[in-house]
Amino acid sequence: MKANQLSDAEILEALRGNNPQAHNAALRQLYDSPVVNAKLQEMVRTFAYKADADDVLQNGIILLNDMMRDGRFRGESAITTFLISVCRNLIRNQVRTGERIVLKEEVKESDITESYLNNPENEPFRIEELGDDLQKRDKILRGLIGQLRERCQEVLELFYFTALNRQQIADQIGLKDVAQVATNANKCRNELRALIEHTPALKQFFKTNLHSNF
Amino acid sequence: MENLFDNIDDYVLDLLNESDKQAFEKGMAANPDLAAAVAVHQLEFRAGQLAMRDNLRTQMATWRVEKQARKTVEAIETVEVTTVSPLTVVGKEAKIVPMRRRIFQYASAAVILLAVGFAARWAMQPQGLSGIDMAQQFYEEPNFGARSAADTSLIAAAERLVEQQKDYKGAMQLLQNIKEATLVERTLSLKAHCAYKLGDFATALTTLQTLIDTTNDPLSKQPAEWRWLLMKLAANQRDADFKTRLEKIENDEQHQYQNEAKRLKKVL
Repeated sequence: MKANQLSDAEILEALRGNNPQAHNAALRQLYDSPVVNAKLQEMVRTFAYKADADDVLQNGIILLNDMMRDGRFRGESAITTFLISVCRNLIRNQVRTGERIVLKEEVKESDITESYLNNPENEPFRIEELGDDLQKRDKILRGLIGQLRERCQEVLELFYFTALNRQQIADQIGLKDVAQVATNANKCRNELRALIEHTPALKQFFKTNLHSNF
Repeated sequence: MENLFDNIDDYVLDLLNESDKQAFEKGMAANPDLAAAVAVHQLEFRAGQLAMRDNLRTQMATWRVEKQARKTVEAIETVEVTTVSPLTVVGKEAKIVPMRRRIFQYASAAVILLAVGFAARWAMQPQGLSGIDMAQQFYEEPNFGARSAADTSLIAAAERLVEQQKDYKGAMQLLQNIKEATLVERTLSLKAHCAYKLGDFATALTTLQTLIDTTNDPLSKQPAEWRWLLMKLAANQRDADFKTRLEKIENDEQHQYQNEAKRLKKVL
């Protein structure tokens, strides 16, 4: 292992932590991982995937990051194996953009091992596509974020980075930081919510979605 | 639980214990204002999640370009090693095979020139980013949607050629023969895609401009405007027209590629 290379445990720690730089460095290492890249090239050939391996890797990293931060990936499986399994699902199902899909777990995380992946029939996730209305909702929400002042966008970036890290909050680590970031972000959050409330096209979503990850 | 409104974040982020969660949901059932506030918070956190994703995508766009640069350098180094190695051997045997030595010397010089050329090209590009790489990063493969197997029209055949065989030249030939006015937009769109894949950015640009001028349907016009920008990038034509259109898309809240334009601007 090169001197500046993180171990799997260190990657996990960085991804679960509240330091954006360390978080970024960990994702970068996964992105550059020769093992992951070689596996993906092989899978792209095997399953005659129609886009290139790098596209699927980027989508896989985004989905892994979401799952990590909302506590759905707990580190019971090796992180590179988990990432490869996410990518394999995308390749097998010819998914080209991660923006329009949600992954639902079909097996326990601890069951996702290299030997599990050796069987090409095994699929650890079920892929559900977001409906047109939800895709439209996301597009509008992206537009609203873009309407905020640049400073607000920066503050909120840090706030959501921290607040959406539920694993970290659940572990009762860094709660003080979360509170501090939240205080700083309150004004900007209010601005964003006001924009949401005054966007007619979002009215249909003002019904609370119980038991859902927003 | 005291004031349920204070716990909206915790509820939305699923941080409440089971009994507090049940109490909160009872409160929502009884108080429509609380329920409405929760819905707005859910949308707010979704917006935050999307913003984080977009930031990460922008980051990865830069990583991708760096990765491709590393691959290019590695390829050059590999060529140098394989060329230099036989040169050394032949050098020792120069008296026996002087012609081969000369060939290897020429080959070696060519490799060095090639490397210098690559390095110069790389150094001259702003921030080391190549327009083609960036265009590739942002380019979306067309989604042809569901098509009936019984559809034997030329346009369907051309789409099949592209989708299943990546035969862009073959598809271009078929597209030349499509004259139906109702298929103009679909034909131009596919033609531009094929031209891009064949590296003919000039044709892609003119085709997309025709499409932009032809249609008023935002579902066709906006993707064409975005792809036009990417073709300008690929052709290394970051001129005034490019900047004007990039700013127009970036500032147009109704434009479906507004966020992509913002991300592109960040990378640029």
